[in-house]
Amino acid sequence: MSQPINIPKLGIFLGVVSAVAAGLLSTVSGMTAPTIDANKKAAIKTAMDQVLPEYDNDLSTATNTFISSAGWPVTFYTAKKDGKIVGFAGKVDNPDDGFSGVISLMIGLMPDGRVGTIATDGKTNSAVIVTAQTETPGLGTSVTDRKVKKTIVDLIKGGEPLSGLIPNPYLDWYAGRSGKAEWIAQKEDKGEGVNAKTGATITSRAVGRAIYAVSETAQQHLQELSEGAE
Amino acid sequence: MSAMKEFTKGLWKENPVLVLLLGMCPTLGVTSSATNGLGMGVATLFVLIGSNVVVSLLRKIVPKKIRIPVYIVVIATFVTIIDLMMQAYAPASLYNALGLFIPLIVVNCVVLGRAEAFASKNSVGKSVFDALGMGLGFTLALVTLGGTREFLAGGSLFEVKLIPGWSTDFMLVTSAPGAFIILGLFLAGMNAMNMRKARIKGEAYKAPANLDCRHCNICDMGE
Repeated sequence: MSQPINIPKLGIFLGVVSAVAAGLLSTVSGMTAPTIDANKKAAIKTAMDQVLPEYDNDLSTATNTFISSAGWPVTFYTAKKDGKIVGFAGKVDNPDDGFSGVISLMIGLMPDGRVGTIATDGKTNSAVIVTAQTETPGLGTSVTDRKVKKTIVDLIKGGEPLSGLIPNPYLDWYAGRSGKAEWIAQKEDKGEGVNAKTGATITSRAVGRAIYAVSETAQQHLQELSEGAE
Repeated sequence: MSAMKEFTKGLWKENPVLVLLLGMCPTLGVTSSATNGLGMGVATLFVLIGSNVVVSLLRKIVPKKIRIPVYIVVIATFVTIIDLMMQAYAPASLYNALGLFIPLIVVNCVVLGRAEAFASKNSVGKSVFDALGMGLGFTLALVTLGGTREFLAGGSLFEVKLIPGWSTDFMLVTSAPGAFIILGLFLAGMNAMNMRKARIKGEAYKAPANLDCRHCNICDMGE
Protein backbone atom coordinates (compact mmCIF):
# COMPACT_ATOMS: atom_id res chain seq x y z
CA MET A 1 0.00 0.00 0.00
CA SER A 2 3.04 2.27 0.26
CA GLN A 3 3.70 3.05 -3.38
CA PRO A 4 1.41 5.60 -5.02
CA ILE A 5 -1.11 4.41 -7.56
CA ASN A 6 -0.19 5.51 -11.06
CA ILE A 7 -3.68 6.02 -12.43
CA PRO A 8 -2.74 7.12 -15.99
CA LYS A 9 -0.46 4.11 -16.41
CA LEU A 10 -3.16 1.71 -15.23
CA GLY A 11 -5.72 3.40 -17.45
CA ILE A 12 -3.49 3.21 -20.51
CA PHE A 13 -2.73 -0.45 -19.88
CA LEU A 14 -6.39 -1.32 -19.54
CA GLY A 15 -7.16 0.79 -22.62
CA VAL A 16 -4.57 -1.01 -24.73
CA VAL A 17 -5.82 -4.42 -23.62
CA SER A 18 -9.40 -3.41 -24.43
CA ALA A 19 -8.41 -1.99 -27.82
CA VAL A 20 -6.63 -5.21 -28.78
CA ALA A 21 -9.67 -7.21 -27.64
CA ALA A 22 -12.02 -4.97 -29.60
CA GLY A 23 -9.91 -5.29 -32.75
CA LEU A 24 -9.84 -9.06 -32.45
CA LEU A 25 -13.59 -9.22 -31.89
CA SER A 26 -14.44 -7.02 -34.85
CA THR A 27 -12.30 -9.24 -37.08
CA VAL A 28 -14.00 -12.42 -35.88
CA SER A 29 -17.42 -10.79 -36.07
CA GLY A 30 -16.74 -9.71 -39.66
CA MET A 31 -15.61 -13.22 -40.53
CA THR A 32 -18.62 -14.99 -39.04
CA ALA A 33 -21.41 -12.48 -39.74
CA PRO A 34 -22.23 -13.71 -43.27
CA THR A 35 -22.40 -17.35 -42.10
CA ILE A 36 -24.57 -16.49 -39.11
CA ASP A 37 -26.89 -14.48 -41.32
CA ALA A 38 -27.11 -17.30 -43.86
CA ASN A 39 -27.79 -19.79 -41.04
CA LYS A 40 -30.69 -17.69 -39.77
CA LYS A 41 -32.18 -17.36 -43.25
CA ALA A 42 -31.72 -21.08 -43.89
CA ALA A 43 -33.47 -21.90 -40.59
CA ILE A 44 -36.50 -19.79 -41.59
CA LYS A 45 -36.49 -21.32 -45.08
CA THR A 46 -36.35 -24.86 -43.67
CA ALA A 47 -39.24 -24.08 -41.32
CA MET A 48 -41.29 -22.66 -44.20
CA ASP A 49 -40.56 -25.63 -46.42
CA GLN A 50 -41.80 -27.91 -43.66
CA VAL A 51 -45.15 -26.18 -43.21
CA LEU A 52 -45.95 -25.51 -46.87
CA PRO A 53 -46.81 -27.75 -49.78
CA GLU A 54 -44.60 -27.62 -52.85
CA TYR A 55 -44.22 -24.09 -54.19
CA ASP A 56 -42.16 -22.36 -56.85
CA ASN A 57 -42.17 -18.65 -56.03
CA ASP A 58 -39.70 -16.62 -54.01
CA LEU A 59 -41.27 -16.32 -50.57
CA SER A 60 -39.04 -13.55 -49.33
CA THR A 61 -40.81 -11.07 -51.64
CA ALA A 62 -44.36 -12.34 -51.05
CA THR A 63 -44.92 -11.13 -47.51
CA ASN A 64 -47.73 -9.34 -45.68
CA THR A 65 -47.63 -8.29 -42.05
CA PHE A 66 -50.76 -7.74 -39.99
CA ILE A 67 -51.30 -7.10 -36.31
CA SER A 68 -53.30 -9.82 -34.57
CA SER A 69 -55.97 -9.09 -31.98
CA ALA A 70 -53.46 -10.00 -29.28
CA GLY A 71 -51.23 -7.19 -30.57
CA TRP A 72 -48.50 -9.39 -32.07
CA PRO A 73 -47.34 -8.80 -35.62
CA VAL A 74 -47.92 -11.84 -37.83
CA THR A 75 -45.90 -12.12 -41.02
CA PHE A 76 -47.49 -14.13 -43.81
CA TYR A 77 -45.56 -15.61 -46.70
CA THR A 78 -47.70 -16.50 -49.69
CA ALA A 79 -46.67 -19.69 -51.45
CA LYS A 80 -47.67 -20.22 -55.07
CA LYS A 81 -47.25 -22.92 -57.61
CA ASP A 82 -47.76 -22.11 -61.28
CA GLY A 83 -49.23 -18.77 -60.22
CA LYS A 84 -51.89 -20.35 -58.00
CA ILE A 85 -51.85 -19.86 -54.24
CA VAL A 86 -51.16 -23.18 -52.49
CA GLY A 87 -50.90 -21.91 -48.94
CA PHE A 88 -49.55 -19.37 -46.50
CA ALA A 89 -46.86 -19.60 -43.88
CA GLY A 90 -47.53 -17.46 -40.82
CA LYS A 91 -44.64 -16.45 -38.58
CA VAL A 92 -45.48 -15.20 -35.11
CA ASP A 93 -43.73 -14.56 -31.80
CA ASN A 94 -45.74 -14.97 -28.63
CA PRO A 95 -43.86 -12.89 -26.06
CA ASP A 96 -46.64 -12.81 -23.45
CA ASP A 97 -47.90 -16.24 -22.49
CA GLY A 98 -44.96 -18.64 -22.37
CA PHE A 99 -43.60 -20.04 -19.14
CA SER A 100 -40.28 -18.33 -19.82
CA GLY A 101 -39.50 -16.05 -22.71
CA VAL A 102 -40.71 -15.78 -26.26
CA ILE A 103 -42.21 -18.70 -28.16
CA SER A 104 -41.83 -18.35 -31.94
CA LEU A 105 -43.90 -20.40 -34.32
CA MET A 106 -44.09 -21.04 -38.03
CA ILE A 107 -47.56 -22.13 -39.03
CA GLY A 108 -48.70 -23.37 -42.41
CA LEU A 109 -52.19 -22.46 -43.58
CA MET A 110 -54.29 -23.78 -46.43
CA PRO A 111 -55.56 -21.30 -49.01
CA ASP A 112 -58.88 -21.12 -47.12
CA GLY A 113 -57.13 -20.12 -43.88
CA ARG A 114 -57.31 -23.42 -42.02
CA VAL A 115 -54.22 -24.68 -40.22
CA GLY A 116 -52.31 -27.41 -42.03
CA THR A 117 -51.39 -28.43 -45.54
CA ILE A 118 -53.21 -30.70 -47.91
CA ALA A 119 -51.04 -33.58 -48.97
CA THR A 120 -51.11 -34.99 -52.48
CA ASP A 121 -53.24 -37.89 -51.27
CA GLY A 122 -55.90 -35.48 -49.96
CA LYS A 123 -55.04 -35.96 -46.30
CA THR A 124 -54.49 -32.99 -44.01
CA ASN A 125 -50.97 -32.73 -42.74
CA SER A 126 -49.88 -30.97 -39.62
CA ALA A 127 -48.10 -27.69 -40.25
CA VAL A 128 -47.16 -26.18 -36.92
CA ILE A 129 -43.53 -25.83 -35.86
CA VAL A 130 -42.12 -24.06 -32.87
CA THR A 131 -38.96 -22.39 -34.17
CA ALA A 132 -37.66 -20.94 -30.92
CA GLN A 133 -38.57 -21.32 -27.25
CA THR A 134 -37.01 -21.41 -23.82
CA GLU A 135 -39.61 -23.49 -22.01
CA THR A 136 -38.86 -25.96 -19.21
CA PRO A 137 -36.88 -28.88 -20.66
CA GLY A 138 -38.90 -32.07 -20.58
CA LEU A 139 -42.15 -30.39 -19.58
CA GLY A 140 -42.91 -27.42 -21.79
CA THR A 141 -40.64 -28.71 -24.52
CA SER A 142 -42.72 -31.87 -24.88
CA VAL A 143 -45.42 -29.57 -26.25
CA THR A 144 -43.12 -27.61 -28.54
CA ASP A 145 -40.45 -30.02 -29.75
CA ARG A 146 -40.60 -32.24 -32.77
CA LYS A 147 -37.68 -34.46 -31.90
CA VAL A 148 -36.79 -37.81 -33.38
CA LYS A 149 -37.05 -40.49 -30.74
CA LYS A 150 -34.26 -42.85 -31.67
CA THR A 151 -33.82 -46.09 -29.80
CA ILE A 152 -30.84 -48.38 -29.65
CA VAL A 153 -32.82 -50.80 -31.79
CA ASP A 154 -33.13 -48.18 -34.53
CA LEU A 155 -29.43 -47.54 -34.42
CA ILE A 156 -28.57 -51.19 -34.85
CA LYS A 157 -31.09 -51.69 -37.62
CA GLY A 158 -30.10 -48.42 -39.28
CA GLY A 159 -33.49 -46.76 -39.56
CA GLU A 160 -34.77 -45.16 -42.74
CA PRO A 161 -34.82 -41.36 -42.87
CA LEU A 162 -38.15 -39.87 -41.87
CA SER A 163 -40.11 -37.85 -44.35
CA GLY A 164 -42.21 -34.89 -43.34
CA LEU A 165 -42.67 -33.54 -39.85
CA ILE A 166 -41.90 -35.62 -36.80
CA PRO A 167 -45.23 -36.16 -35.00
CA ASN A 168 -46.12 -34.23 -31.88
CA PRO A 169 -49.70 -34.81 -30.67
CA TYR A 170 -50.00 -31.39 -29.07
CA LEU A 171 -49.07 -29.51 -32.23
CA ASP A 172 -50.70 -31.95 -34.67
CA TRP A 173 -54.09 -31.51 -33.01
CA TYR A 174 -54.54 -28.18 -34.79
CA ALA A 175 -54.22 -29.65 -38.27
CA GLY A 176 -57.26 -29.01 -40.44
CA ARG A 177 -58.91 -26.69 -37.92
CA SER A 178 -59.57 -23.01 -38.19
CA GLY A 179 -59.05 -20.60 -35.33
CA LYS A 180 -61.73 -20.58 -32.68
CA ALA A 181 -61.76 -18.30 -29.68
CA GLU A 182 -62.12 -21.34 -27.43
CA TRP A 183 -58.51 -22.27 -28.15
CA ILE A 184 -57.25 -19.44 -26.06
CA ALA A 185 -59.59 -20.16 -23.19
CA GLN A 186 -58.34 -23.69 -22.78
CA LYS A 187 -58.40 -24.71 -19.17
CA GLU A 188 -58.70 -28.29 -18.09
CA ASP A 189 -61.58 -29.85 -20.00
CA LYS A 190 -63.22 -26.64 -21.17
CA GLY A 191 -62.65 -25.28 -24.60
CA GLU A 192 -62.80 -27.29 -27.75
CA GLY A 193 -61.06 -30.31 -26.34
CA VAL A 194 -57.68 -28.77 -27.10
CA ASN A 195 -54.84 -31.20 -26.63
CA ALA A 196 -52.99 -29.73 -23.67
CA LYS A 197 -50.22 -31.43 -21.72
CA THR A 198 -50.76 -32.01 -18.03
CA GLY A 199 -48.13 -30.07 -16.14
CA ALA A 200 -47.46 -27.83 -19.11
CA THR A 201 -50.75 -25.96 -19.28
CA ILE A 202 -49.04 -22.62 -19.65
CA THR A 203 -46.92 -23.72 -22.58
CA SER A 204 -49.88 -25.46 -24.20
CA ARG A 205 -51.96 -22.33 -23.82
CA ALA A 206 -49.20 -20.08 -25.16
CA VAL A 207 -48.85 -22.28 -28.23
CA GLY A 208 -52.63 -22.37 -28.68
CA ARG A 209 -52.85 -18.59 -28.49
CA ALA A 210 -50.09 -18.13 -31.02
CA ILE A 211 -51.75 -20.53 -33.46
CA TYR A 212 -55.06 -18.82 -32.87
CA ALA A 213 -53.49 -15.43 -33.56
CA VAL A 214 -52.16 -16.61 -36.91
CA SER A 215 -55.35 -18.40 -37.93
CA GLU A 216 -57.63 -15.56 -36.84
CA THR A 217 -55.52 -12.90 -38.52
CA ALA A 218 -55.37 -14.91 -41.71
CA GLN A 219 -59.13 -15.27 -41.80
CA GLN A 220 -59.63 -11.54 -41.23
CA HIS A 221 -57.26 -10.64 -44.02
CA LEU A 222 -57.82 -13.57 -46.34
CA GLN A 223 -59.02 -11.26 -49.11
CA GLU A 224 -55.89 -9.12 -48.98
CA LEU A 225 -53.65 -12.15 -48.62
CA SER A 226 -55.15 -13.81 -51.68
CA GLU A 227 -54.93 -10.67 -53.81
CA GLY A 228 -52.10 -8.73 -52.22
CA ALA A 229 -49.11 -10.84 -53.02
CA GLU A 230 -48.38 -10.81 -56.70
CA MET B 1 6.67 -35.12 -15.68
CA SER B 2 5.42 -32.04 -13.89
CA ALA B 3 3.45 -31.07 -16.99
CA MET B 4 1.73 -34.42 -16.76
CA LYS B 5 0.89 -33.67 -13.14
CA GLU B 6 -0.61 -30.31 -14.05
CA PHE B 7 -2.73 -32.10 -16.63
CA THR B 8 -4.01 -34.99 -14.54
CA LYS B 9 -4.78 -33.03 -11.39
CA GLY B 10 -7.74 -31.39 -13.14
CA LEU B 11 -9.22 -34.72 -14.09
CA TRP B 12 -9.60 -36.16 -10.61
CA LYS B 13 -7.64 -34.77 -7.66
CA GLU B 14 -8.63 -31.16 -8.25
CA ASN B 15 -11.58 -31.69 -10.56
CA PRO B 16 -13.14 -28.21 -10.92
CA VAL B 17 -16.70 -29.44 -10.48
CA LEU B 18 -16.43 -32.42 -8.18
CA VAL B 19 -13.65 -31.22 -5.89
CA LEU B 20 -13.30 -27.46 -6.24
CA LEU B 21 -17.08 -27.01 -6.74
CA LEU B 22 -16.53 -24.16 -9.16
CA GLY B 23 -18.83 -23.15 -11.99
CA MET B 24 -22.04 -24.44 -10.49
CA CYS B 25 -24.25 -22.32 -12.76
CA PRO B 26 -23.39 -24.09 -16.03
CA THR B 27 -22.97 -27.38 -14.20
CA LEU B 28 -26.52 -27.40 -12.94
CA GLY B 29 -28.06 -25.37 -15.72
CA VAL B 30 -27.07 -27.15 -18.92
CA THR B 31 -26.58 -30.75 -17.89
CA SER B 32 -30.07 -31.93 -18.78
CA SER B 33 -28.48 -34.18 -21.41
CA ALA B 34 -25.07 -35.66 -22.14
CA THR B 35 -24.89 -33.76 -25.43
CA ASN B 36 -25.45 -30.41 -23.74
CA GLY B 37 -22.86 -31.22 -21.10
CA LEU B 38 -20.33 -32.11 -23.79
CA GLY B 39 -21.01 -28.91 -25.74
CA MET B 40 -20.70 -26.71 -22.68
CA GLY B 41 -17.58 -28.54 -21.51
CA VAL B 42 -15.81 -28.20 -24.85
CA ALA B 43 -16.75 -24.51 -25.15
CA THR B 44 -15.36 -23.89 -21.66
CA LEU B 45 -12.24 -25.90 -22.52
CA PHE B 46 -11.47 -23.60 -25.46
CA VAL B 47 -12.04 -20.47 -23.40
CA LEU B 48 -9.81 -21.87 -20.64
CA ILE B 49 -6.93 -22.61 -22.99
CA GLY B 50 -7.19 -19.17 -24.59
CA SER B 51 -7.45 -17.26 -21.36
CA ASN B 52 -4.75 -19.27 -19.58
CA VAL B 53 -2.26 -18.67 -22.43
CA VAL B 54 -2.91 -14.94 -22.63
CA VAL B 55 -2.99 -14.42 -18.87
CA SER B 56 0.27 -16.35 -18.55
CA LEU B 57 1.86 -14.23 -21.29
CA LEU B 58 0.73 -11.04 -19.58
CA ARG B 59 1.64 -12.17 -16.08
CA LYS B 60 4.86 -10.17 -15.86
CA ILE B 61 3.61 -6.92 -17.36
CA VAL B 62 0.09 -6.60 -16.02
CA PRO B 63 -0.08 -4.15 -13.08
CA LYS B 64 -1.30 -6.01 -10.03
CA LYS B 65 -4.05 -3.55 -9.18
CA ILE B 66 -5.93 -3.97 -12.45
CA ARG B 67 -5.19 -7.62 -13.08
CA ILE B 68 -8.78 -8.76 -12.46
CA PRO B 69 -10.31 -6.29 -14.97
CA VAL B 70 -7.67 -7.30 -17.50
CA TYR B 71 -8.43 -11.00 -16.98
CA ILE B 72 -12.15 -10.32 -17.39
CA VAL B 73 -11.52 -8.51 -20.68
CA VAL B 74 -9.36 -11.39 -21.92
CA ILE B 75 -11.93 -14.00 -20.89
CA ALA B 76 -14.87 -12.03 -22.30
CA THR B 77 -13.04 -11.71 -25.63
CA PHE B 78 -12.53 -15.46 -25.89
CA VAL B 79 -16.11 -16.18 -24.86
CA THR B 80 -17.47 -13.81 -27.50
CA ILE B 81 -15.25 -15.44 -30.14
CA ILE B 82 -16.53 -18.89 -29.14
CA ASP B 83 -20.10 -17.59 -29.13
CA LEU B 84 -19.77 -16.20 -32.66
CA MET B 85 -17.98 -19.31 -33.91
CA MET B 86 -20.68 -21.57 -32.49
CA GLN B 87 -23.43 -19.44 -34.00
CA ALA B 88 -21.74 -19.76 -37.36
CA TYR B 89 -20.48 -23.33 -37.40
CA ALA B 90 -22.06 -25.44 -34.64
CA PRO B 91 -25.31 -27.40 -35.21
CA ALA B 92 -28.29 -25.14 -34.60
CA SER B 93 -29.80 -27.50 -32.03
CA LEU B 94 -26.66 -27.37 -29.88
CA TYR B 95 -26.44 -23.60 -30.09
CA ASN B 96 -30.13 -23.25 -29.20
CA ALA B 97 -29.66 -25.42 -26.13
CA LEU B 98 -26.48 -23.71 -24.93
CA GLY B 99 -26.98 -20.20 -26.32
CA LEU B 100 -28.16 -18.80 -23.04
CA PHE B 101 -25.20 -20.18 -21.12
CA ILE B 102 -22.32 -19.37 -23.46
CA PRO B 103 -22.07 -15.68 -22.46
CA LEU B 104 -22.13 -16.83 -18.85
CA ILE B 105 -18.77 -18.56 -19.32
CA VAL B 106 -17.35 -15.06 -18.76
CA VAL B 107 -18.28 -15.28 -15.10
CA ASN B 108 -17.60 -19.01 -14.77
CA CYS B 109 -15.32 -19.22 -11.74
CA VAL B 110 -13.43 -22.13 -13.27
CA VAL B 111 -12.01 -19.81 -15.93
CA LEU B 112 -11.29 -16.82 -13.70
CA GLY B 113 -10.11 -19.13 -10.93
CA ARG B 114 -7.50 -20.80 -13.14
CA ALA B 115 -6.38 -17.44 -14.54
CA GLU B 116 -5.83 -16.03 -11.07
CA ALA B 117 -4.70 -19.09 -9.13
CA PHE B 118 -2.54 -20.74 -11.79
CA ALA B 119 -1.85 -18.97 -15.09
CA SER B 120 -0.84 -15.69 -13.45
CA LYS B 121 1.98 -17.52 -11.64
CA ASN B 122 3.16 -20.15 -14.09
CA SER B 123 4.74 -20.46 -17.52
CA VAL B 124 2.70 -20.65 -20.70
CA GLY B 125 3.43 -24.34 -21.18
CA LYS B 126 2.31 -25.31 -17.70
CA SER B 127 -0.75 -23.10 -18.05
CA VAL B 128 -1.79 -24.88 -21.24
CA PHE B 129 -1.58 -28.26 -19.52
CA ASP B 130 -3.47 -26.89 -16.54
CA ALA B 131 -6.20 -25.55 -18.87
CA LEU B 132 -6.39 -28.85 -20.74
CA GLY B 133 -6.69 -30.85 -17.55
CA MET B 134 -9.18 -28.52 -15.91
CA GLY B 135 -11.22 -28.19 -19.11
CA LEU B 136 -11.34 -31.94 -19.67
CA GLY B 137 -12.15 -32.52 -16.01
CA PHE B 138 -14.97 -30.01 -16.29
CA THR B 139 -16.21 -31.66 -19.50
CA LEU B 140 -16.00 -35.11 -17.96
CA ALA B 141 -17.99 -34.06 -14.90
CA LEU B 142 -20.62 -32.34 -17.05
CA VAL B 143 -21.00 -35.29 -19.42
CA THR B 144 -21.30 -37.73 -16.51
CA LEU B 145 -23.85 -35.56 -14.74
CA GLY B 146 -25.75 -34.87 -17.98
CA GLY B 147 -25.67 -38.53 -18.96
CA THR B 148 -26.97 -39.62 -15.57
CA ARG B 149 -29.80 -37.10 -15.66
CA GLU B 150 -30.69 -37.91 -19.26
CA PHE B 151 -30.71 -41.63 -18.55
CA LEU B 152 -32.86 -41.32 -15.43
CA ALA B 153 -35.26 -38.95 -17.16
CA GLY B 154 -35.90 -40.95 -20.29
CA GLY B 155 -33.69 -44.01 -20.45
CA SER B 156 -31.56 -42.45 -23.16
CA LEU B 157 -27.96 -41.35 -23.64
CA PHE B 158 -26.77 -38.81 -26.22
CA GLU B 159 -30.39 -38.69 -27.41
CA VAL B 160 -30.43 -42.40 -28.22
CA LYS B 161 -33.00 -44.34 -26.26
CA LEU B 162 -31.35 -47.33 -24.60
CA ILE B 163 -34.42 -48.69 -22.83
CA PRO B 164 -37.43 -48.34 -25.13
CA GLY B 165 -40.15 -48.66 -22.49
CA TRP B 166 -38.66 -46.20 -19.99
CA SER B 167 -41.15 -43.60 -18.79
CA THR B 168 -40.32 -40.08 -19.88
CA ASP B 169 -42.03 -38.31 -17.02
CA PHE B 170 -39.45 -38.39 -14.22
CA MET B 171 -39.35 -34.62 -13.92
CA LEU B 172 -37.20 -34.26 -10.83
CA VAL B 173 -33.94 -35.21 -12.51
CA THR B 174 -34.45 -32.82 -15.42
CA SER B 175 -34.91 -29.83 -13.12
CA ALA B 176 -32.20 -27.92 -11.26
CA PRO B 177 -33.06 -29.41 -7.83
CA GLY B 178 -32.58 -32.88 -9.31
CA ALA B 179 -29.22 -31.79 -10.67
CA PHE B 180 -28.22 -30.68 -7.17
CA ILE B 181 -29.27 -33.98 -5.65
CA ILE B 182 -27.38 -36.04 -8.23
CA LEU B 183 -24.30 -33.84 -7.89
CA GLY B 184 -24.51 -34.35 -4.12
CA LEU B 185 -24.57 -38.11 -4.60
CA PHE B 186 -21.50 -37.84 -6.86
CA LEU B 187 -19.63 -35.86 -4.20
CA ALA B 188 -20.60 -38.35 -1.53
CA GLY B 189 -19.37 -41.17 -3.75
CA MET B 190 -16.07 -39.42 -4.39
CA ASN B 191 -15.53 -38.73 -0.70
CA ALA B 192 -16.34 -42.32 0.17
CA MET B 193 -13.75 -43.53 -2.36
CA ASN B 194 -11.08 -41.16 -1.05
CA MET B 195 -11.83 -42.15 2.55
CA ARG B 196 -11.66 -45.83 1.66
CA LYS B 197 -8.30 -45.29 0.00
CA ALA B 198 -7.03 -43.52 3.11
CA ARG B 199 -8.34 -46.25 5.39
CA ILE B 200 -6.61 -48.95 3.39
CA LYS B 201 -3.40 -46.97 3.77
CA GLY B 202 -4.16 -46.81 7.48
CA GLU B 203 -4.46 -43.04 7.87
CA ALA B 204 -7.30 -40.71 8.73
CA TYR B 205 -8.82 -38.99 5.71
CA LYS B 206 -8.12 -35.28 5.45
CA ALA B 207 -9.30 -32.96 2.70
CA PRO B 208 -6.32 -31.59 0.72
CA ALA B 209 -5.07 -28.59 2.68
CA ASN B 210 -4.49 -26.44 -0.38
CA LEU B 211 -8.10 -26.63 -1.56
CA ASP B 212 -9.80 -24.52 1.07
CA CYS B 213 -10.68 -20.87 1.04
CA ARG B 214 -7.41 -19.73 2.65
CA HIS B 215 -5.54 -20.99 -0.36
CA CYS B 216 -7.47 -18.81 -2.78
CA ASN B 217 -5.96 -15.37 -3.18
CA ILE B 218 -8.59 -13.82 -5.38
CA CYS B 219 -9.74 -11.49 -2.61
CA ASP B 220 -6.40 -9.94 -1.63
CA MET B 221 -6.16 -7.04 -4.05
CA GLY B 222 -2.55 -5.87 -4.07
CA GLU B 223 -0.41 -5.61 -0.99
